[in-house]
Amino acid sequence: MTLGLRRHLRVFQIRLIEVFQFRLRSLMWLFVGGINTVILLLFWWATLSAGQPTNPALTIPAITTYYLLMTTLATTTICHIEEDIAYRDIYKGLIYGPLLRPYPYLLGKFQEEIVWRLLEGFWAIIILAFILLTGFQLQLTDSPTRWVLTIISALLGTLVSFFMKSILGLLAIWLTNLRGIMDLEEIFHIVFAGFVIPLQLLPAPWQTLAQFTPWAAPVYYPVMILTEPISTATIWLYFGCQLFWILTLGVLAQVTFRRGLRAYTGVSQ
Amino acid sequence: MKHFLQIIRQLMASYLEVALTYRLDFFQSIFASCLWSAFGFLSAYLVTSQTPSVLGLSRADMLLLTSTYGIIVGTHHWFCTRGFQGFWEIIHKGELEGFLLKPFDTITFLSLRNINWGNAVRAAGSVLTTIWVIQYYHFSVSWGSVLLFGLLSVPAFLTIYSLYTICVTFLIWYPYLSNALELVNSGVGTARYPIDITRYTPRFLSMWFLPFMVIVNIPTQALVHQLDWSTAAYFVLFSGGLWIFSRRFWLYGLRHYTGASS
Repeated sequence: MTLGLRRHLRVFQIRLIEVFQFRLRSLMWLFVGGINTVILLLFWWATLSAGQPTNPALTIPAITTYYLLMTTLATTTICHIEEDIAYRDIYKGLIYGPLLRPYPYLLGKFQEEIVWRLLEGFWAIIILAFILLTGFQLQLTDSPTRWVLTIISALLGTLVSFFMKSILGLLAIWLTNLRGIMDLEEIFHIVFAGFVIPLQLLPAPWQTLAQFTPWAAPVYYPVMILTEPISTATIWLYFGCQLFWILTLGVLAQVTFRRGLRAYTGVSQ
Repeated sequence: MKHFLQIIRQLMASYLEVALTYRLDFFQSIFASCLWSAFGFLSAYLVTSQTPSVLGLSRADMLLLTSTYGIIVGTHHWFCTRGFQGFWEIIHKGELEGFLLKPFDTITFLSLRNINWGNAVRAAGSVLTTIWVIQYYHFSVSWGSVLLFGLLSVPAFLTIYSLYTICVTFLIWYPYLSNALELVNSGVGTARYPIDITRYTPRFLSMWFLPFMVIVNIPTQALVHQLDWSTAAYFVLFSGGLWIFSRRFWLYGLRHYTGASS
């Protein structure tokens, strides 16, 4: 094993130890996200049981599969690094520590975030397995190729989310207080990732727009590949979008970080 | 009581001064709270775009629920939410002793420690939106029902307050679980959904949301003359019981507080 790879693995091991101290905290985050999904699920169950939806695609098994997968994947692929970068590292001035270490700052953050995602994903899969044990059947594709494509799409989606959230957090160097922007991003995330209703059910102009935003990339694309009978061309379009956002946001994150370092003055100056 | 009101007035004046000193933060806070209000209306619009009526409720009913949610929950966010959110750090750093020595009820003082004036705008905006929704959709509202809505908003506020108090008491034992407050926050966010959901969904799931849903649904039903007196009485009893329990639990939790040096 090369020295470089061994160094990365050692750092990753340290991240694992650090994050695993907060196992219950990660479970709590899963519940926080889960509450919003469960209430929407209950809302749709009740609405579909009591009335007639205008859209025939809205059925109880379909909507249940959709929301359960959205929650499971959201905990695994959507990064939450922005608050850490903005408040802990920049606002409180703790960024000096990581900057003085001979290890790239953003790569270190990525490793830390990956451990959090794996831990929360682990909890989510346990809860999903428990739901399946109660006898509920998820409406999933039986094609192994689609499963592989879903995993690849989820991995690419994680990168999109990481770069987007890193840029957001780094903006604190110039703006200091990001509360308003973070709330705005959170609302876009909830609507354009398809958490309120599936994106294909949004009103016409918003439907197309939402599907090409970076918020759809981490969760909506993998869920669609796994559950909907979409064409191969659409799947390639999703991959194309994800690669476009990775390249664009990845370059932008690097540029923001380099410029930000020059502009950063620290808390005491 | 006079002493209590004097202190609250003083705290409100002090935090208004803070808000006007850090103006950008204040405007961001107004911006953020307006965004969340707008999101509530957007959600109501989106979910009603797929079905003509939701559990017998029209889009107008959903919008009314969203706007009254802004009044009740917005008022709590205005006075208390930020104060509760800073609580874990006080416990973690062992600073609670300083607050315990003050000649004022500790949990009340801690909850009012960071009044968020940005949310005052949200609460006021929600009052105006509610008036607009009532007039535009021709809801039948009388002065009596408005008064009843105001009266029932007090136990609704107390219910939210009690849920936060119970949560911060747990932080005495587990200060690192500060995100438990986000859990309560998300729970309170479910109050904007119609309570009739619980009639059509599995009880083992929906019962967890019932304490949150009553917060906004019961006062709103009173506003549009759809509330019977027995439900109102149960709601007041539930709220009062929860408040007494939260106070006792807080005092019990204090006995287990060890401070930073122990």
